[in-house]
Order: sequence, then structure tokens, then C-alpha cells
Amino acid sequence: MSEELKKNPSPEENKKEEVKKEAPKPEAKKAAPAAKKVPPKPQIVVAPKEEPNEDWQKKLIGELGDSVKEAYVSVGEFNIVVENNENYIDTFKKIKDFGFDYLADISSVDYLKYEGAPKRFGLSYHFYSVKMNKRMRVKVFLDDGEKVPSVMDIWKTADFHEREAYDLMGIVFTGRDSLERILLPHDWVGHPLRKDADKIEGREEYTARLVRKLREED
Amino acid sequence: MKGLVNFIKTFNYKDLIKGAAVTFKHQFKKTVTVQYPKERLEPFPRFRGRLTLLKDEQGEDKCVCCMACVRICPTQVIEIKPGKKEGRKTRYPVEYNFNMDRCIFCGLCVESCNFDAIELNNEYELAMYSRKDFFFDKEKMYVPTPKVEYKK
Amino acid sequence: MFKREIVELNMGPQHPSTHGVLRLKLKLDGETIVDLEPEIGYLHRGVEKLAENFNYLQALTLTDRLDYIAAVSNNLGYIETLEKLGGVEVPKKAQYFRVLLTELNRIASHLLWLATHALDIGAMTVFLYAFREREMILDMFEMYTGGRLLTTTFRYGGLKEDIPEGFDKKVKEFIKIFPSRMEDYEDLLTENRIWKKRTINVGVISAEDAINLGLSGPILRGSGVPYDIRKVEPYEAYGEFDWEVAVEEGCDTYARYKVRLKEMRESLKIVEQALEGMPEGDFRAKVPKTLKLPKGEVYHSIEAPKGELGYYLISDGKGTGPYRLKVRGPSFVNLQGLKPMCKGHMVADVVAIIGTLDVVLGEIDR
Repeated sequence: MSEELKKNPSPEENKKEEVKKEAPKPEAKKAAPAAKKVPPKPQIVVAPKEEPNEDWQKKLIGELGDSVKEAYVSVGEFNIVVENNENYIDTFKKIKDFGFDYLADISSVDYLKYEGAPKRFGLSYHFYSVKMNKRMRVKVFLDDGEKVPSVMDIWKTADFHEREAYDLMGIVFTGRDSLERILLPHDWVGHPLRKDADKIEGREEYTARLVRKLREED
Repeated sequence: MKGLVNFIKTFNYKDLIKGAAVTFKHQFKKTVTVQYPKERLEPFPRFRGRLTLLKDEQGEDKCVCCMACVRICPTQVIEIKPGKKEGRKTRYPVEYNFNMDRCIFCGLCVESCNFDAIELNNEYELAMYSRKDFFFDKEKMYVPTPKVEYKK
Repeated sequence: MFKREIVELNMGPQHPSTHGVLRLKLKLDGETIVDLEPEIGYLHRGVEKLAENFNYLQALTLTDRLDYIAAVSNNLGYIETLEKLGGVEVPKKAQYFRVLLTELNRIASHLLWLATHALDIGAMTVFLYAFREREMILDMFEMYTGGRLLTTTFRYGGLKEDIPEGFDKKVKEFIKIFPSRMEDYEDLLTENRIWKKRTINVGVISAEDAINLGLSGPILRGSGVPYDIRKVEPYEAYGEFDWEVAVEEGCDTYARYKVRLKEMRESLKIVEQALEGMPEGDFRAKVPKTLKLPKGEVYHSIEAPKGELGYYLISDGKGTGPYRLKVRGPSFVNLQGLKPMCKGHMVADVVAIIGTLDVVLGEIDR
């Protein structure tokens, strides 16, 4: 992530400038054939990251202390990056005590083909505070096979989300009962949402070509 | 005492009468159902039915094989084999194959077409007896599906 | 002689009252439910994986098939997520029309809920009447988009097409008719003694538990929490209309029934205001033909008929499609409320509680 940050001119850049930056892109594409045969390097526009400014954001960062690795605001959303260590559960308890009582979603991400991610996998916790009417996201990066403590004791809603993350992405949660597959059959091999899951040992690759072949055999 | 009050209350049929009045009222209302298949409803002009190829006034294909529909189709049901012929500046489809059993009728192909060469027509009785019938080649795509008339 | 024995019973996946392919593993002590475990995944189509191989426009067709009775709301949530990351200003006319269609969709979804919920409990007349009114809304969808159920309605930056002629007439006709039809439903159900006995104090969940379980939508509002994203974080033009959040304190099935009925009335109010105040102008902002979004991530949620519908989108800035699209379906999370709600009730009450949760399996299994 840090490399992209450096490429990015200034963190204070707001949304309007971002749209302006997007605009010259099609022109650059049109100009490319005239220059001939030099394929233009796709210019990647990055959504700018800003420093958290609001009082509650600063207060929360102060309360969490050392466990916050990085905090930024991107596309109007407040992000906190934490590390998977022994303070993990404590961090979430503090977040709940701060007022974020509604855990909206836990998303698992495979960053295999994503440039600039520190580790292979990621978990994104999306919180909402009913009292304060605020939203935030807590991110944690994980290596392949790294286990992460469950937050089911704090929010019961984490049950299905964690089972789904295990089922489709293969992230193992500890400290909770029965981490079973939820959407796929119990005897399924592999975790389909991984970016390298196209080929599973012992299974034929399920592609459009295979489908066509099977249909022709019909 | 409370049991007695409740027992007397059971003879208060106000709620039942209220409900029965609604159903009774509906006896004199116009029916909204249609006697399908003897009567058929006509869909609205934008209805997304079966994919059809269109011809211009001279009876030529409007399609110029730009492949926009092939690329946008989420289920990849369209196959085009482009070709050239005399007296026509643009390419024309030698083959235009459409596989209806996987079509999801999203209309993205029609939206992506810059030449108004295809449309989703107003047919909605698209069930067939065989999977082979769902395969439409170029000749079949111009013709509307024959309608079956039902009589009493 | 009378030995206490726990019996395991499978309910579904083919069962008329489970509204799809939901399977419940019930543990029964006589007729009382001791434990319950929902078994899902029978309708899993891998929408999230498919979306990674599609471009942004193609992935829109997948969102239709999540909650297939509220396809317009699903489209809106997805398109708004893209717009939030792309930073596009949507024209006022498009915003108003989006609100109008989504609110009509909310009424249609609640009508289907009312119909099937009442049918499950035993009131068949409401089923027929509610479907009659839902048909009017589906006709409007067909008139505008061409699809009745799977609409593929909106596009990045606005609407797909302009509003057809005669559409406002149809909406006005519906606005005129619908309040009297609502009274019919209420006459049939609200005071009905059987309805009351089957719903009051069935499936009770406190506000605290509901928040902890992540429940949203009418279920949370039926427990007295005024959490409606349309009000607390207004998107589109919702901030400009005059309406109220429907909240009931009862925490039970009857309260949720009242919340949904009130919501239909409020939705009709919004539809009326949106139609009257519909501004003139463009229906789509100027956007490039092939959509490319900046590298970044965004979570956006809207108030779908079933609850909080969130999309978590990650774009790598290179491709023309999402790098990762996660759908936070309201039904998926709301299903977790089934276990605490059902414990201690009879088997027949499970039917009522599944009905009151208003789950759609297309969204749960994805």
C-alpha cells in the first residue's frame, strides 16, 4: 500500500481532483495508436487516502493506542488497520465499548493478484454505531494458514460471517465452536473464492470449455 | 371471574364480521384474472422476450458483426461468424447462433448494439419440448415462434 | 413409561412454508423446540466468484438474482457502490426516479411477504388480494425496464432509459387505489383473533439481542430501534421527502407485521412526493462507455425491503470488473435470529417465525 501512497501526489487530494484525474485517461488511449505500437502502460488511478480529521476518529485511535497500525480515510470511509496479535480481541472489545455495537459485515479478501497488499489474505470488519450514527472499517492482513481469533463472543452475528469466510476463503477462526462449512457441501474440497482456486487437485477444471465439451457429448 | 369475562368476549364477533364484509364486498367487483390460454395479455413495448435479428428496408441484415453483443453477454450465448459479400460495404453475419436455454434476458446485447440490429421481441411463451429447439441459427432468428391457438 | 426423548426432525428443503430451499434441523421435545440449526447453501450459485470474472455492467445482472423479489433495490445498492467509488454526481431526475422505483419495489416485496406470511398462518384471502396489487407494480416495472422480476434497472450515472409515456398515469392510479386496499388487509388481519393468537408473543427478540445478532430492517424496527438507513444516512433524494420511520415496541411477530404495514403506507407517501416533484432534465450523467474505477475499496449499504443490504467492492484499478465483490445480504444475517426466536415455541410457530423473518434464499445462498 505504501508504494501507492508515494505515487499519489498529496493525501489532501479530494474527490473532485480524483474525477479530473480520471478524465484525461480516454484521451491518452486515443493518442496511443498514433504513436504506434508502444502499448500505453495502464495508468492506475488510486482513490486518495486522507488523514482522519474528525474528533471521534482521533479519540478512537487514541483509545486503541498501539494496536492501530495505520488509520486513514478513503472515499469518505474511516479505516483502521490492526495486527493479528495477542491484543486482537481486546481491540475489538474496546471498539464495542466505544459505541460500535452493530457489526454489519465481515468480508474476506484474497490479495494474491492485488498490488501493494502486505500479506496474502485480508479480513474487513464493517461496523456501525446505532448511537453515534457512524461507520468504520477495521482491516487485518493475514498470511496463508494464519489463524485468527473469533469475535463471536462480542458479536453473535459474527457466527455466519466467520463460517462463510472459512468456507469460501479458508480463513480459520479460533476460540469458537463448530467452524463448519455453511454454503458448500460438507465434503467439498478447497476454498473457491481464493484467486488460485480455479484448479483443485482431483477435480477437473470447471471452465466454459469443459461445459461445451460436456454439452456436445450429450 | 376473568375466565367468565373472556368467555363472554368470545361472543364478540366484530372482527369476524369485519373480515367477512371484505370478502363479501369483493363478490361484486370486476374479476382481474384472465382466462389463459384462451385470452392472452399483450406485453409492454419494452418487454424483453426472445432475441431476434432485424433487417433494414432492402431486406439486408442490419448487423455489421461488431461483436459488441458477443462481448457483453454475461452467459455467452451468442456466436457470430462474420463474412463479406459483394455490394455491401460492411461485414455481414454468415452465421448468427443464439442459444436460448442459457439466455437470461437481461437485454445488455440490445443495449450495446450501435446499429439497432437486434431486439428482444414480445414473445413470452418460450418453453420447448427438446433442448435442441432452444438453439436458434440465423434463419430461425428472423421468424417469430409459431403460436398455438387454443379453443374451447 | 413416559420417557423424555429428544426427536430430530428435518423441515425442508422442500417444504411449502420455508419459502425456498431452506432446511431446518429441529430438535424436539414433544412439540416444543429445544434446538434448531438452519442448513443453507442449496441455491449457492457463486455470485461473488462470478462477479470477479465479469465487468461492472455484467455483474449488475447478478445482483438481480440475489433477492429476486426486490431486484430494483439490489440494483440500486450495487450501482450506488460503483458511483461512490467513481465519484459521479447523479442528475436529480434520475435520483427521484430511482427513489420512486425502489419504493414501489419495497411495497411489492412487502406485499409478497404479507401474502405468504398470511397464507402460512392460515389466512388465504389476503394472499389473493396482495398478489393482485403486486401485479400492478410488476406491470409498472415491465413498462419501464422490460422485465417483471429481474429488472436490471439502473446504470452507472443514472437511468438506463427515459421514463416512458403513460408511466405517471399508472403510478397515479396505483396511489389512488392502494390505501383502500390496505384497509382491506387490515380489516382481514389486524383485529382477527386467530391472527393475534398466532402472532402476539411469538418470536420475541429484545432490541439488545437484535443489535448483537446484526438483525436489520423491519425486524430491528419491530424491536424499537429506529435504524433505517434511508433516514440516518440519506442516499439518493431520500432527505428531501417527508416521511417517518416505522417503529413498534412489541418485539414480536405482530409488531413486525405492523411495522411492515406502516412502511408500505410511508413508501406510498414517498412515491407520491417523488412523482409530484419529479424534476426535468437529464436522466444520465456523462460517463465513459467502458467503466473503469480507481483503485480502492468501498462499502455501501442501502435499506432494502429486508434490511441493510451492503456491497463491499474492491477495485484494483486495472481491470474493468470488480476485484472482489462481497454482498452483505440482509436475509443471510437475519436468518441468525431464527434460533433464539424459535426456542421454546411449538413447531407450528416456526412457520410463523420464518414468515416474519422474510427470508429470500437467493440472497442467503448467493
